[in-house]
Amino acid sequence: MPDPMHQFEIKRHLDLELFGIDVSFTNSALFMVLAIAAISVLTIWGMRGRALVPTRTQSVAEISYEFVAGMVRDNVGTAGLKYFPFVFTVFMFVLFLNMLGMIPYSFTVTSHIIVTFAMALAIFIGVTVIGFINHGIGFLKFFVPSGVPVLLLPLLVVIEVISYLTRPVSLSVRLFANMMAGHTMLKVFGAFVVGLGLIGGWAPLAFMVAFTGLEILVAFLQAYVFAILTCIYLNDAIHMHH
Amino acid sequence: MVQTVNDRDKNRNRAGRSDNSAINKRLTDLGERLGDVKKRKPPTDDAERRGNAMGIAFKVATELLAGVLVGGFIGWQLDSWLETTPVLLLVFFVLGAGAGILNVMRSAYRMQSDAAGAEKRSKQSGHTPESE
Repeated sequence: MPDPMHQFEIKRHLDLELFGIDVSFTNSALFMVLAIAAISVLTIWGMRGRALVPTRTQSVAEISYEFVAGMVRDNVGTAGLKYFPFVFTVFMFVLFLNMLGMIPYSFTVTSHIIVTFAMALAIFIGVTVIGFINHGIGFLKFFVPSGVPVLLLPLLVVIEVISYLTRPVSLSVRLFANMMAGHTMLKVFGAFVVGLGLIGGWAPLAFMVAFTGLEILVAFLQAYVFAILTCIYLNDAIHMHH
Repeated sequence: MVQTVNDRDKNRNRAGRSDNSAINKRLTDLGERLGDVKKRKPPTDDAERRGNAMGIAFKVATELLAGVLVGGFIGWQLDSWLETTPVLLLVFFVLGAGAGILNVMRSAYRMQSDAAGAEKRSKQSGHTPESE
């Protein structure tokens, strides 16, 4: 049986070293570049006509814009629209990485926890900085729950701080685990199809067709969840309530 | 309907009104046909709901796990810094579990209020196929 984890292997396409740090151009980097290129094609080339009656590509670009703008408006309010470009970038990047990963023989960048964790950490640090910029030192009040006896306060503040620190972990683990589990499942069932051959292989094949559809849904849903949690964290930083 | 763009432009003013009514007629037609199809085959959202429930379960599980992990990690680091192994690891493990439960409760509240909001909205629009 072929190794179902083989698809997650990092391969070097171009060996590079910068100041003693390994910055080789890998398949992971390649697919990030591809995602950026695809998003640029969609948003820049697709919007070149700026027609009142949009072409198909333009309407896809417009739909994604309105989708994210609506998400930011619903979850953060109009004060959050300042950060719309950031949320849009995060959403489109994760969405395209997930969707590119659904193409056979491609590589799923988001199935590596170091990538999702780095993104989540960037969001976490950025949102914390935004909180301190908006509220100054008063942002620390975010960690002090209201209406609690003074005796319990130290304990609860520690718990609140830990709860705040779990954000990048749960954000990144959710995306990574969903993508990795899904792609491993696909590979395992693909091996079943080959292993059971012409007689028994049809059942796992039928399952795989359905599961591929589900995986495309998951790819979209996880990008959506990633973006919406960014919005919720932004909302906490701007309006300071849970 | 095969027409060049110029033809359409010329005809637009003259035919604008009748075009609109034709489009409206087609829309209501389509709406009726869609309603018929929906009545014939009621939406089987069982699978969808089950997928959604699995998503929620997974979300809650990661939140709980993240709390324990982060708490344990903080305790472990503090321990190796202050050389108090394993006191702080144990303390922060429990605190992390508390933080995880807090996260789970918060996201459960959020889901509850989201669901309540969605229900209210669908009641306000009040024209679901089931109510007919």
